[in-house]
Amino acid sequence: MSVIEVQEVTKRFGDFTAIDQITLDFAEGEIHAICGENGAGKSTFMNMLFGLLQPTEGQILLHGKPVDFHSPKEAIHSGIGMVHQHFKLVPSLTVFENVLLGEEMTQSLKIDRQREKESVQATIDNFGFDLDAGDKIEAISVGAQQRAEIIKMLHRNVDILILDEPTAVLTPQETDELLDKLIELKNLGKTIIIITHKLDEVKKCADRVTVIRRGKKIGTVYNQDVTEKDISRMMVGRDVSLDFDKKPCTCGDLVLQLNNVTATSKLGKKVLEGIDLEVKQGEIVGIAGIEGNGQAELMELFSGTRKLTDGEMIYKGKKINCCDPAALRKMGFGLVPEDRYRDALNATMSIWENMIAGRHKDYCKLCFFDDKVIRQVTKELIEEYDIRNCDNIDALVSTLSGGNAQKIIMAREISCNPDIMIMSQPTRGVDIGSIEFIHQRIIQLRDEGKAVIVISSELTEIMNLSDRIYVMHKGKIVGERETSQTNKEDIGLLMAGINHQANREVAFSYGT
Amino acid sequence: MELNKWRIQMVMKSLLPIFLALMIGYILIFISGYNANEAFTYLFMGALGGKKQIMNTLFAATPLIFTGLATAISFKAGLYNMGAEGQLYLGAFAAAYLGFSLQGLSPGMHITICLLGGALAGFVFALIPAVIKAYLQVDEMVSTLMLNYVAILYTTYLASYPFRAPGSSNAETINILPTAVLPRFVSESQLHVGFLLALVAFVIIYIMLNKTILGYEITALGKNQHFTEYVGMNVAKKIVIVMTISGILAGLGGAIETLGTHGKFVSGFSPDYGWTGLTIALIGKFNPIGVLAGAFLFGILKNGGSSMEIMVGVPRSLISIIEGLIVLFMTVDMLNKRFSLGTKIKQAIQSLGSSKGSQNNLKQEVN
Amino acid sequence: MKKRVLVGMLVGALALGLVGCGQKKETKETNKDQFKVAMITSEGGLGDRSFNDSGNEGLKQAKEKLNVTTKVVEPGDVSEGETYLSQLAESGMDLVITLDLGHSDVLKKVAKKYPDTQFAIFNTAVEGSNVSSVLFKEQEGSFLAGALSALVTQDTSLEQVNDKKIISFIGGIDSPGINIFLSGFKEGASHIDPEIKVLSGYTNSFADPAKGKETALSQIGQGSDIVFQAAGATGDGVIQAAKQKNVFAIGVDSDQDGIAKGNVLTSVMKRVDNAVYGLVEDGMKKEYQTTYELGLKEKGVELSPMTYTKDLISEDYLKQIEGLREQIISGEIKVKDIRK
Repeated sequence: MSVIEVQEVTKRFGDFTAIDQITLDFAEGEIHAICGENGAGKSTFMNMLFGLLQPTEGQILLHGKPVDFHSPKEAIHSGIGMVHQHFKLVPSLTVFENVLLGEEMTQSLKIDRQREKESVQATIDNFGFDLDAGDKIEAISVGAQQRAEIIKMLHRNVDILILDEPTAVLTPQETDELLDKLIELKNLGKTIIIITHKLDEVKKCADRVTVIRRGKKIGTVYNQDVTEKDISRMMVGRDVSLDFDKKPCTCGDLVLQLNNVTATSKLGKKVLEGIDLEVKQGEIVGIAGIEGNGQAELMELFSGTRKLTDGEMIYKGKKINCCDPAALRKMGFGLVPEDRYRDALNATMSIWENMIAGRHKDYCKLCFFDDKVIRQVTKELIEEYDIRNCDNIDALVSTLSGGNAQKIIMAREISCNPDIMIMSQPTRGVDIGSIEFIHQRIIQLRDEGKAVIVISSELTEIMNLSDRIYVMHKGKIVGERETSQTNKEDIGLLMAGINHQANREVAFSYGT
Repeated sequence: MELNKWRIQMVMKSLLPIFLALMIGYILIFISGYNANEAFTYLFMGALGGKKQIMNTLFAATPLIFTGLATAISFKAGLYNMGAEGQLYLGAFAAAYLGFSLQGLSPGMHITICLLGGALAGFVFALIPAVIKAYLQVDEMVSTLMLNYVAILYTTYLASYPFRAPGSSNAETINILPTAVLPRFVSESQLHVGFLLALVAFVIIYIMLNKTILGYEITALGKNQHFTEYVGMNVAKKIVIVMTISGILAGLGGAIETLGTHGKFVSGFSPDYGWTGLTIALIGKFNPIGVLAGAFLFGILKNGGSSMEIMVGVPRSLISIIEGLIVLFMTVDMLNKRFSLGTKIKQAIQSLGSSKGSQNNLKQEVN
Repeated sequence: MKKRVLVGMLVGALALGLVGCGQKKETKETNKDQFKVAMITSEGGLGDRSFNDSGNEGLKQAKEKLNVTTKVVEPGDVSEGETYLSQLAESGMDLVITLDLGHSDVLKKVAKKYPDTQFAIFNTAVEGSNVSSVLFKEQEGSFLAGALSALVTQDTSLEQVNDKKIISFIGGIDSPGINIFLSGFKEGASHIDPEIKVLSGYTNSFADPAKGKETALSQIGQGSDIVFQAAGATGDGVIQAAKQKNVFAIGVDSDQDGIAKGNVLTSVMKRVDNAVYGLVEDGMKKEYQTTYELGLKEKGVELSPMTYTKDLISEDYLKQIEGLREQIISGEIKVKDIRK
């Protein structure tokens, strides 16, 4: 019995077809994973189910009847709930206030807080979640916030739950707990649609998997019939391998060293505290951690856009405490920041203009640009880095997909021949094919004897690339491990801050 | 091919607001009881109807090219230099001072020195907000806006007291020496050599923006300051460079007004050239070509407007209305782009149409 | 495609408009023999309730009584003077009057180029065989205003008057053309009582009422109860200040008594209207003078009829002022002209 049937749905934005004639059904009480690379159209598809977007063509049937949602409110009323990748919660309000936002229970004109709290707590207990309805959102962990999001939907009695990349912000342990919880909910009769590109998670919980590539449905398969490799082949269209045969590290001289570095925010809060860290030639150092634990600030420090308030940063034996990006680059820093379209690319400039940024001065005669050379160099780099859809290098860089845009940045930074390459979230929003390529280039850099720092919240990426791993938690480095002597579980615990602070936060769990 | 089509569309898009504004102006003149045909004839003939008229139009456009370019280049870099008016006044005064006080120079020499003086005045006066913006993060919009008062009132003071021409009832200096006067092309028209200098400034700015490193950096800065800083361009330095180029242009504009038009510094000589320049930069989308076109457009309206008033008696305020309407319609276009107003209207019309259609269908079914 | 249709429709609408107008063709027959006069306003333009409006009044009278064609134009800025002067001359005007002092330099040039047109400029002397310069003896009118003020400021029975013997003056720009008002005003005041103190200030603009008000309020604060202003549109602010503080202002150029009834003691009128009218009259006879110097005698300057204040002021004062007026006309009193 299918709850939702999607019939030949197409969604166009102008000339661009985001979803192309997808036909699909969701059965009652199943966990259905929607897989696809970034930009494949997964989110667009789900937003149509949830009433945020309307299909250009085709129709959606709910319990056999055609529906036409024009707002999420209508979708929720019909029993479809969605948990977004970025939570839509008010931090200063409590869990129950967030759950009931917009549907407050009133007694004459007064909000009946006690009754509200009890009713939300009843839902929480009913589904066996570990959550206190009276806690403020800003005081609870990311995992708990996500549970609050799910409760928000369950409290509205939805029987179809859509989760968009739910594990992106969770530690490995929290991820496992979430997946278990989803299976429990399924057993209670809920239909769950989970959007993800993490195949191990799909394997763990899904009943069926639908793969979307470039807006087209590639196929729907039963989970037990396929392997992770099969799914990834469906997603990318070819075999990919993210496991590398890395040569053992042949470390050289010390390149960059941070001694007891502390930085404070404008409000005087310590965002980085007592960071000790070093990276040598020919070594990849990974910095793991759940997002928002100081990695962004650390990257800003490396990039020269944030000043340290205490400690010292030493580069090739020289103290470089307060340098701007221009000076750092001159010294041999290659920088790949986290926010691609804010810091690394100028979205409204062309591909070639982005490709030469920073070393544009090398391509001119007497202050005038040498068009011919620039075009030549740009084309060569595009070829070398296998950047697709770049035939017209005058096109805006924002027309490229995440992976191709990231490759432009990599090409630019690597071609500057840096001595140290520092990257933050190098493969975020990048398709698997490009991830493979980028990872290979990073290892190649190491093998050429460069020092490399990779900051990433993707544990797999850290594990695959790094020779040595630092783990960050709450602005501090809570552990350092040789990759060969650790495993995901160990790092995961560190990420949750566990060997560092007593066992208080072990209680990150979904139910008991 | 695609690009050409896009360009034609762009030109059409800029022409449509002008056309609409003129049409409404036509109707207003008509209902105000004037002979609108005659008025429009004089509007165009007075501005473009002959060699002299065209020259006078170019004359009217000259200061606007300078202030327009000055504003456009700063806005292009994402810096809001609102101080063109003040920089213009200082440039004008500096040129006048050098013009009447330096004696015994050859004309070419004297003019060059006066122009350099005007440019330097604009440079120095733009340097202040530039430096406090670049190194102390003081908002340049506020500082330049306020410095306008300083510049205008200070030059008025100078022209009212220490340097006032003896016997004059206006706040104005004595005449500059003949060696400092920018010559006219022909005596019948006020157009002077300053126009050629405006064209030179245009060409330089155009090439600078499109072909040089600095132009590239300015564009990058204007579009994404984080990016510019991150890839290692020195943002503070760039801010100072752009702001001072802007100031130099405005100061030159003022100097050329003094040397070519008035022959002295007259307090209140500028009918808001700086602000009109801002308008022109906005409707020209910070593109030098757009600025040039905008300056000519406003030159046409000014010159044609006076001829319309003289010959038909249509008040000048009607021309101001047309100018206002042009800006308004151009803004509507910008709003359209930002909020896709046009698409929404189109959708509304379509849904109206389709609901009508379905009603018709219903009727047919009933029938 | 749709856009093209829209543009087409607009063009159509415009074309219809054109046709409509064509049919309604206005018949503003202008007699070729008619005398044609044009007047260029000065900064501030029409509606200043002062200089420009007064000139316009004279032109209207000339149109009515002398049957001439008239035209008033208001340039946007001073650099347009040359265009306006020459275009008006070219369009066949017999007499072109400019009220803008700033045109004196270009007038010299333009007048030479159009010898068949007569030009006139006010308040400044410009040489040229076809240029008439119209000057006023402002000092004479100001003298009377000063004398009247000196009398009134001592009449503490009036609610507008305080016990201090202070009066004041606000000028547009510190220049001979404006200071002539001040010197006449002072001379008149000290003619009545040498102990009268006259404050003075300048606003550096003829078009800034806010500044005028501010300056006036400051003078009133210092004890002045009669403020004489010679500052064009800036003077509006002075009168507003007098009204707000319930003291007297004295108007200038045209009869400004009605702007704040009862708070404008009188106005030193420059009868620009009479002068313009006279110029047209002379022009029709082709008897222009190179220089017109107009004082009380020629009715070029005079005090306003004091419509709203003459009942407040003691009759004795008014008689004294009338006496002074006659003395000036007869030459018994000579008011100093600081410009000479």
